Amino acid sequence: MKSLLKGSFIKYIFLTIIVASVFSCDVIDPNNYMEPIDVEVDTTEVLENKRVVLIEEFTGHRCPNCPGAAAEAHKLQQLYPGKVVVMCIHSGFYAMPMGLEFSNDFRTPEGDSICNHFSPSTFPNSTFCRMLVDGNYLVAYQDWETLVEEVINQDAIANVKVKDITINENTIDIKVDTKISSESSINANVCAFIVESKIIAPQANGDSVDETFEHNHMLRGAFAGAWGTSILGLGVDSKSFSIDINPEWNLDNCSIIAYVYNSSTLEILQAVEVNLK
Amino acid sequence: MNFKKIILAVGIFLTVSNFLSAQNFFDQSYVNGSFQTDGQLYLSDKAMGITDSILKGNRYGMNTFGELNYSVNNFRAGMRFEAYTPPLKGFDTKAKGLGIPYFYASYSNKYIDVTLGDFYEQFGAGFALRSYQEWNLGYDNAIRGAKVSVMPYKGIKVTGLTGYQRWFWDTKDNWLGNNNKGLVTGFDGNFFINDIFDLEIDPQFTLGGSFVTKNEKDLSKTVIFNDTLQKLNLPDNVATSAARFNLSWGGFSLYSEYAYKINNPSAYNNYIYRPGRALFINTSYSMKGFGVSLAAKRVDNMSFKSKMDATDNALDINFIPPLTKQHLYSLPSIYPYASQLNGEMSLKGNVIYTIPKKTKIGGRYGMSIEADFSIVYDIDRQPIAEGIPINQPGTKGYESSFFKLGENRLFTDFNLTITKKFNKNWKGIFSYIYLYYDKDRVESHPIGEFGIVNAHTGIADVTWKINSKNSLRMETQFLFTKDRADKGHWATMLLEYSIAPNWFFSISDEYNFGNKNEADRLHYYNFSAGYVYRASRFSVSWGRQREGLLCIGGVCRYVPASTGISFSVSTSF
Repeated sequence: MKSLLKGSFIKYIFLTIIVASVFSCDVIDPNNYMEPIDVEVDTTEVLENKRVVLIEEFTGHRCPNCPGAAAEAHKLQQLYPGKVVVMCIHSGFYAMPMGLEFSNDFRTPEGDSICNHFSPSTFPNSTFCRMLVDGNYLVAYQDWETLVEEVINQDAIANVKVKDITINENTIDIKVDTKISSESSINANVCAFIVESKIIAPQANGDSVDETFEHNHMLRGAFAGAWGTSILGLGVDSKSFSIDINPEWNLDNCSIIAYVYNSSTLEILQAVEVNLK
Repeated sequence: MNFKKIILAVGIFLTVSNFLSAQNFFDQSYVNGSFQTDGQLYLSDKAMGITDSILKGNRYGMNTFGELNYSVNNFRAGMRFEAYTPPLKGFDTKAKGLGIPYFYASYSNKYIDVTLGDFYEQFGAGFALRSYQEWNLGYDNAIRGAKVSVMPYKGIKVTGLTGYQRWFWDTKDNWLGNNNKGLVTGFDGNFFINDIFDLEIDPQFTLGGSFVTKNEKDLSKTVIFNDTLQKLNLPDNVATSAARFNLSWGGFSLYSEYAYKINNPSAYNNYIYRPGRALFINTSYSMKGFGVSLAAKRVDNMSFKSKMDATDNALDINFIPPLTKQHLYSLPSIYPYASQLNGEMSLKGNVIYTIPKKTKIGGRYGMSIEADFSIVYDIDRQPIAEGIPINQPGTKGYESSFFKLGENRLFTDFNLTITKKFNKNWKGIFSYIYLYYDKDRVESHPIGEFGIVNAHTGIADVTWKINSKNSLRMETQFLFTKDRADKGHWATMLLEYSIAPNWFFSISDEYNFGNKNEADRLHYYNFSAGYVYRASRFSVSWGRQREGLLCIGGVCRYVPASTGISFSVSTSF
């Protein structure tokens, strides 16, 4: 038999692939499919039994109408303490640095990923628990108040709790417990983000620029990417996350936002915000 | 040096070496390619519930690709540009963007075929591996890496490959060595026994085998079992192996493939450890004017993706071939069958007979009769132990008797088609189709939301060739559902006027006259025109699109209702 393989380096390539393939099987012993882990999950105290609203506000420091949305968010948080979580995502055209006045770059890769996904064509814009409102994920901030009143009285099918916050020299470690109590298993993810408030920086406001505008709830970083990580779709789960500290952050003004969402519909099922310190 | 630069360097080296060595370089160079763009402008339509606020910021979509391939002597290279700006409605929004997601360089001769870059490949029927692209589904699971096929002796072909699969628009940093999806490695052997032993007689016999693994790192998953939090012991390496044979003897052929996948807990199978199995048998016989085929398939837990927690239409390493007919007419396509990778048992039979010309029934031109039957059941599933629910994460999931049908019938399709040419100017295609469709289970709705649909469809498709250049095609369809299930009854009329070889115009209306909800008894009208010049096609249409599933090869995507103006341009060279 005439063989091309004989004496050729090709046979080594094939042998390598074949050997690597044959030995690349991890058959798990049926008695060892899973093992108990020592994580305390509080299944009785996990937060609210009513929904907490999560507003993703798409904004930018050069967006002249965005202070209006910020004011509305502030008002709702005063009206419904602990029931409205706001995450300001600086992304898109109005968030790009420009000139000396707007030299800050508050954009984040995760914020851009979320903003690009929902593709707002106008700013400010938002999603409201990523619910479809009139068939659209994007919601004008003028509609928030009506929606808040509807949603915060709904029973939550998911709960989320941030605990064991540890601030190390260069990293922040957290644990996030989740619980989903729907009738059947769903596809669900949990996300966790760092947001910072009391950032004084220029902001376009109507025809003028407010040089000492206070930016609040600004997305600064993500523990598990823009879209989080999957969790058990029914019952209790727990995730540990870590994030590198950016020296630009003022940790005294930072908080952690965590939420659970249905990864099939993207709807945010429950959210929580806790202060970092 | 990143992977793209390596491909570029190899491409330039091979091109230059060919250029220097070949005297008639340009005579042996070939360039071919294709281009297509599909766009739609979406309009509000109060009757369909499409308001301006729904369309806000999403009034148009456009999907475009351009592919270019170059070959000289034994060398080939190519690339494909894609743009979804933004994607048409119904395509995954993660497709939004533009770039060059596919490029390759390859060299082949009589003994070897080497490809670096992106490639498509299929082992056997696809149970172990199939990477492919389907433009109309927005599906592409191309593998980026290396593939080597060796033909060391006549009748023998051995293929090895390794790489990462495409997932929409992977960022540059994730092109290779991506920690978020597994490395796919596999090999396949195909042995044409008659060629190997110089047997130039029937029967012809082919043997084949495949082995494919996925390596995924840093996996973790916790579940609750018996009120205790448990961490799953997850396999980093999951393998699927498959064996197949094909026997052909005159008009008879028999193909069978069996695949086995080791424990592969994943989001798709609810993190159970049961091994996957699939058996596929297809036999057929054909002779002049007559053909018959019978196929059977059993699939048990055979989803195999290169990312453990992926659940959408992406990153599939393998493919489960459907055993149901893909209907081309619009009304029976309302109820297409989507392959159930977690389990299905199906049977399909097909008979086609052509009544000869110049007989009483066949007439001057003959008549073709085709009957087709397919039925799909769920597989049997029993608890692995008392008190443990079926599909409990972190367990084997369930026990299943190989030959026992599950209690739920998912799908049945019986259809009869008669094709008859009456004279040199008139011909017709007449069909009757019965469909049984468990909409809840096939489309993964909550059980009881839609229920079972029993649909009867009659179709008459008549073409009148007016003269050598002009023809008129008339299509009439009626679909009735028992108890007006789902959206009830439909009627469709289509008139298509063609002026050969360049122009066509059509007008059609799908009327949902039997919808239980009177407000939803809508007309889905459409007007279109097109121009064909050699290999190029231009078309434009205006009208409504009803919502539904578009399925190709058992893989489906949802198409939302829309109203608007669409256009399409395609060409190849």
